Amino acid sequence: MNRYVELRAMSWYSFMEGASSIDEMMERAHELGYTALGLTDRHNLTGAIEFADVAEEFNIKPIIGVTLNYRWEDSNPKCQPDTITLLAETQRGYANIANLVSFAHIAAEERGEPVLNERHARERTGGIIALVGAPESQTAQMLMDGQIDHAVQSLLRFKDLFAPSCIFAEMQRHYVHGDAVRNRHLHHAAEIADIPIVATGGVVYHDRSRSRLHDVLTAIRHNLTLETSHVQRKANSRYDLRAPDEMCRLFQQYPEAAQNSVTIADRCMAFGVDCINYSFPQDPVPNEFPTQQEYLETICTDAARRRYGAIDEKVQERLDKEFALIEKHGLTGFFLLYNRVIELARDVAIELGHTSREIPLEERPPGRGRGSSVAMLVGTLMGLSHIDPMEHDLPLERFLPDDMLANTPDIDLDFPRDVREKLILRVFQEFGWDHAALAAMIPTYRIKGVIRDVGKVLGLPTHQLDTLAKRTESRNARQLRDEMLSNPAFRDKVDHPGWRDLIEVGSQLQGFPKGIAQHPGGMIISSNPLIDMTPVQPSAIQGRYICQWDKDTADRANFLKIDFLSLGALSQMQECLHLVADRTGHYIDISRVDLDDPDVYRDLASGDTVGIFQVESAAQMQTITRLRPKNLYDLALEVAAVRPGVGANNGVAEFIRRRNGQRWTYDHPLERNALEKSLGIILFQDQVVQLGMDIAGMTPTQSDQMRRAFQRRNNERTVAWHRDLFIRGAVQRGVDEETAEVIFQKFNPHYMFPEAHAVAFAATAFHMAWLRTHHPNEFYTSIFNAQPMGFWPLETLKQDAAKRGVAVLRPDVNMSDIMCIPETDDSFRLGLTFVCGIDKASAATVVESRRWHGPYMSLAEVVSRSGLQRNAIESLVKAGACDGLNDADDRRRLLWEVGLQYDADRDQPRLDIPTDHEMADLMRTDVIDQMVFEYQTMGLWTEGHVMSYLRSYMDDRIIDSRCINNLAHSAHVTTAGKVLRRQKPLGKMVFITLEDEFGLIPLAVAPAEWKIYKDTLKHPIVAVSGTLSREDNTVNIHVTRAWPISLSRAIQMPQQDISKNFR
Amino acid sequence: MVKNPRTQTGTGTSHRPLNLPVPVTVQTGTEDSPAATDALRRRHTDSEKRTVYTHRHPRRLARSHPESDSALVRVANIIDMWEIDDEWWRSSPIRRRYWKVKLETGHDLTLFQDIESGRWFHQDY
Repeated sequence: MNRYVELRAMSWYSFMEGASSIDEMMERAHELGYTALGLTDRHNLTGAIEFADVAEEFNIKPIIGVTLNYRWEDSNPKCQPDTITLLAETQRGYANIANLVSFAHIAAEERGEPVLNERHARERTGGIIALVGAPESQTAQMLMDGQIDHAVQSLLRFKDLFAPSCIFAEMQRHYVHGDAVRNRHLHHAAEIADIPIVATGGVVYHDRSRSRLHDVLTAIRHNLTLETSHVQRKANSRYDLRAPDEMCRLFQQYPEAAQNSVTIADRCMAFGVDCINYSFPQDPVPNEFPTQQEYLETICTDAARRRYGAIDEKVQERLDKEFALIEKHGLTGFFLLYNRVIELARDVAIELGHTSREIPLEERPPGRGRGSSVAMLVGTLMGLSHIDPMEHDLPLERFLPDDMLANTPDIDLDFPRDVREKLILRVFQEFGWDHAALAAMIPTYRIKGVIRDVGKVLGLPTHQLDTLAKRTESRNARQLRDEMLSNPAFRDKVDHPGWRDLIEVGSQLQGFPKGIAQHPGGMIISSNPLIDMTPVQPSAIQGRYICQWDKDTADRANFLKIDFLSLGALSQMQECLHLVADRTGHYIDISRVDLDDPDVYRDLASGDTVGIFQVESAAQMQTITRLRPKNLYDLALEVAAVRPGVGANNGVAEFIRRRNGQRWTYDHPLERNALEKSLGIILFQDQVVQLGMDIAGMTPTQSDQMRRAFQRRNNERTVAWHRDLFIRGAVQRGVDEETAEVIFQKFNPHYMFPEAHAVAFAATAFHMAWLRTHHPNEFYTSIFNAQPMGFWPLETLKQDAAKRGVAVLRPDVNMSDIMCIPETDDSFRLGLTFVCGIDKASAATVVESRRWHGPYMSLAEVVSRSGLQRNAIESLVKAGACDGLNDADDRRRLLWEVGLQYDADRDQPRLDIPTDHEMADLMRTDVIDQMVFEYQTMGLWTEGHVMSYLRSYMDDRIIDSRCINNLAHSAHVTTAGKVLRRQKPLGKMVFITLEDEFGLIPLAVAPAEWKIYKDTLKHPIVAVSGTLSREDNTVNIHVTRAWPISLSRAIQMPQQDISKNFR
Repeated sequence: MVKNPRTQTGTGTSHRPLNLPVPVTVQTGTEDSPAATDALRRRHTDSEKRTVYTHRHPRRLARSHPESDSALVRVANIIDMWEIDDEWWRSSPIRRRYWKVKLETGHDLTLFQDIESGRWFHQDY
């Protein structure tokens, strides 16, 4: 028989307070023999569903509640609020708690300091059991101050607020000085107020070993150090989950206190995902349609007729199958809601001039689908995606399995940035914050955050913490000790006081959630009020609201989540199409371009992919030359192959070898169905699901759950469970255990694309490549304007443009617009905002003045008419934007003149005083000055490259990227360049890309060399020597030596003295 | 509150800490709780040294004080127990278990055991 139930445990979702995960808490509860456990995180229900799920695994009854700040209407708002704990006795109670948490956040004066006020509480107390008088509460404070009468009054007020049978006075004992006195007084006061008492543990960690972490979290939360947070920290380490027997012994003086914990636990419902009463929005349908299903079918059939002319048997069959599945899974309302959202997006796109009413929705959808939903023909017809699944034979199972749905399918939509921004606001206007909210994102601690935050509270020197954080390569704080050991500056510190604690406590903090942030675009929409299911709180961005559940939890609760993502590539594409239309007079229908255009694939297959969505990374460049895509599906394989989930098993290299003719076999013939398309390698998420079905006989849903299990946080136990299920299932189907294990080992937690998603992205990649091949000038203009996006810096894009005959022209006060604009057929002019210190508003002033008063004739006019600050004008001069002025003959002279012309006091019109006599005799600006000026102000040099300048100072043995192309495998190479990127995929080799005036130079640095040259290779310009490797069409220089090159040294030395200096 | 030893407390050597814990002998009972202690004698001796000590019940103390110096006084009742676990990041962390006890003599005392060393002290307030 239960003698005590712990009703008050806080998990790590009590951000910066709870020091144990839900898993750890539950596992400990199980060890101690608890049969029920209450989770009462502070200010949120973020962990509720996870808690219920884990509880189910341990067969423990999950009781859900919350700890909230509370304030009476008549209390002084400047005083510390009271604290109460609310437990959900019934489903209604849960809904009320979710409402109260929402109101506490929304009515809060300061974001992050929610306080429930009496007015809101009075309206929603049904089904709630309240615990009052906990040690941190005002009532407890009164008792400690000896104000028993006041405490009684306070208890009576709470008794009046909640039903008398639903309120308990809460006693805790943590072996803290004063516990005994407080409990004695509380017992006395509760007796007078006629309120029953209950014992709770006030648990903030599952085990005493976490008390140090709790201390650290407390100090972080209060922005203090351990030394200065004495008052805020707990007095001892006794806030752990204690055994029921120990709790009974502690409260033996008050036997009813322990007994009441059991009574409350019995009264409270077992919380679970079933308690969430979510239903898909049910929009009314036009009168002429008797049902939602008919309405949906009509929308799609009409679109199919427009798209295909007539609906043939194959299309009809696919549509019928999809309609039947939609009806079977009850997703009609779901799709109609998407339809409504797409209509809203289309309205926005029309307002922004991206499309018009006359163009059918499915022909120019406002966004592009991504994810597995792209496999739905219904989606394509409704304008949810731009891919025709019939053309690419995309499987439906991953999106809509035939048996049952484990989760609500999610449809992710990419929009151009401007459409997305407006659309989010439009959805809030349409549905209201109590029915629509953005999904939460829970950022978690990784090594860098751990070093900075824990190091700070331990009082370690900030500059050393910064250095360590910058130099760590692992993301896992559990590897902090190894990271420090591998760093000469920190090697000796691992056992020093402070640093030793950083390692110990830091490793515990790894993966801890930091708080609730806004998901990049996941919007949850509900027909029932959302705040009955999950609390909603204001986002950091005014006017937006976020719910307290992250994407996975929302999935688990079967919420309909729409991802509105902004994709720079789509913004770029949109602008590029507009620019082409401006020049040629007709708008390209990108959805109808030839997807087999050989010119495009030729460029891609040669690794010439700078600026192309999805295939422009250094890793993609290396694989694409080996995969040599010839059609869209090949491109989809390329896009999917370079993903961590594929790379984890060395899958990319093996796939390429097999594709290039290497013999291979399946691990088991049952793999054929799933892996035939990808030559026995798992490239897509869907294939994991298919393997689960084919090898282990799982249902589509079970198999999808197995796939998802790998991606969950703290998933060791769940993965082990699925592994057993998989192996058992496989053995039953005649696969021997060893082979089943080999196949299971191929699954991993790293990310992979669903097949449909890969095809959708491949299509966008192809479209971008097509635009670059056929309209390079507009392509580069638009990619400059869409920054920041993609992989490469502007200078690389400029170099790439030059390779294709497109010149990037320096900005000019008389010719530049705010953003870049094509000037001739093969050149475009940089926009004024590309000069540092010039924002859009300043650039607009410059352009507007030109429009109204004509071109600037002199620097004096620029100074007086532009209204720019002195620094901004100087930046314009340095960037060459004033070179075209009548009186301009030299940038240095112009800079001098700015000082003469500029008058900080602009209230008075400036007198037109000649300045000629004040001009100094200055050294003329040479090419080096121009280069330095332009790098300073724009990060690029329009007329050259820093390496072309440095080349003359370098030893002839330092060869350029063109020469490397002519060298054979294993040749010794010495070269140099500007460091563009460093990548360390899965912690093996480090890949670095250098750039010189002729192109890119790929370097591969082995771990041993990386250890030696790590710091050198972090310089902006480096020279390296090594061996050239040419294998499978891949070129890399395996670095054996590296040394830095100093630009300032080159500039400061007279040329004749330093020639051939950089050896 | 535990004093911060890093705090600068003055310029000279005139600083004289008050009420420092006094080491005592304690005989323990169940669950390491104090069963008997010589704290009263130690307190008495200590107070005589300092000559500032006054106690509330001199007569009772005088009557019940054992003749032998080594005699321990039994604990009649445990009034409260609490723990402190702090400053773990310093070279000497503080881990103490405090007991407020009533002796058979009628005196209330606060004793604590340093958990790191196992030694007992009397804390006078």
